[in-house]
Amino acid sequence: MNQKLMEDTFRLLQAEMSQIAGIQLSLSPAECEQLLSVVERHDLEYDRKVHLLGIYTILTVAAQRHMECVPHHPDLTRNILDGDYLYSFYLQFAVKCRELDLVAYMAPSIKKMQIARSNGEFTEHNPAREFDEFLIQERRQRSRTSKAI
Amino acid sequence: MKLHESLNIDLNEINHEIKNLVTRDKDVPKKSQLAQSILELTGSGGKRLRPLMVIVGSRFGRKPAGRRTLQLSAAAEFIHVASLIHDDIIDNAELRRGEPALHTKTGIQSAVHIGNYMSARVIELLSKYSGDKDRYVHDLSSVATAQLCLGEYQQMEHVFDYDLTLEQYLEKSRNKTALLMATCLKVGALSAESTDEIAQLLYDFGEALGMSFQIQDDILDFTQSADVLGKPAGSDLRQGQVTLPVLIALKDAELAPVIRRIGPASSAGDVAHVLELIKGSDALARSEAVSQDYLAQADAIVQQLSSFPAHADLETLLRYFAGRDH
Repeated sequence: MNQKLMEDTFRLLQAEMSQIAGIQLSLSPAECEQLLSVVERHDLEYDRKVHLLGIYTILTVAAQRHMECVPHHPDLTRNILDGDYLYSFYLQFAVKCRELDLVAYMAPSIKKMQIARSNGEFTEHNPAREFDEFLIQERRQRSRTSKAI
Repeated sequence: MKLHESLNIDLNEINHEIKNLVTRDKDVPKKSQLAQSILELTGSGGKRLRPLMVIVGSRFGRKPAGRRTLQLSAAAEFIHVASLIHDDIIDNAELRRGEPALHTKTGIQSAVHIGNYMSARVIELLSKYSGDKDRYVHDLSSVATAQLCLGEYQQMEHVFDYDLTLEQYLEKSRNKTALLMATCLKVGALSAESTDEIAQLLYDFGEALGMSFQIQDDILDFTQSADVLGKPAGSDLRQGQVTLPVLIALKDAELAPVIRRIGPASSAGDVAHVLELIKGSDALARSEAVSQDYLAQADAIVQQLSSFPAHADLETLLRYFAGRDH
């Protein structure tokens, strides 16, 4: 099941990304597992799981590419452009998947990560935890709404 | 008269909004390197073309411009400056607007993430507009920025590529420069609730204007001094950028072999020699003609918008772009 989810996600991302960028998106099984365990905990449609894993993948790889922007790196230009492209693609993809509430929820923490990294603080940023918090909040809101009705 | 005065736009209000983006961010300490760097960069005399375009676009709406328009105008400048920070690293540029480029002061990794902060701050700010009809607010950070990156990829792929076609050059220029300007006008219009048809016409106008702007930029690299440009003249050729004047000069059977010899290992003298040869040819005049052609396309769109009083502002933009010398 998870293997299919991962394959479907990467296939969708590759189809949505511009070929001009030429980026091959992938995550290690360990990186995937962090989000897979989150989506399995929530009652989500299969397509939504694909979308969330896609967004998580884009964000993770974007941050990784920009962490590799160091002087004299042979792929410095490529790393800058890949990170830039992926951060804009993140928003494009999220808009298309109607996940703008997630974008709004994630925005402060992504911004804080950029602030920390601009200061040379490279502590790990784990978006999976925030995805989980967002989904819990979303479930509570739905539950309140349905009770009110 | 300065452009913002001709357009009757209060630049101080825009500048204040741009400054507020960082000074009102409670996650950023006031004295931090990040805050100071951004304030220096955004306060160092950019032309504010993109914010002005957002405001002009809003004058084609059915409602008066409000807070959202002003925020979008500041966002446009933030996105533009963030891209310049990353561009300077890619180009290994020492100077920006006559001052040391950010990465030369902070280091590359820090500068990359300062640029990222600026983009992330814009997304955070605009995320509060979450309705379905408000999705356009993200066009600057998503579609336009993605196109900008694609233009950079295309530029990187064709470094010292003297077989670049005119179509490839134009597509690169459209992605790298024109579409952000087009999007500024469009989101400005939508922020004041214009119709989609009017927003699209403004987008087309901005695209044509942006194409002319990029070609002028290419020409200025040959004709202006380092003092005026804020970077060494002839930088494009030195860095392998095959711009429109070079493409046109390559059609000249005598010039082509000399130009084609310019590569990453060429001496400053060799590059200077080729710069002079191109300046002495008709390549700059013919490039200027292409630029004027785009301005004529933009002018035709202005005529379609002549029922709006603000069409005069588009004419002002046209005149400014036609007479630009830096």
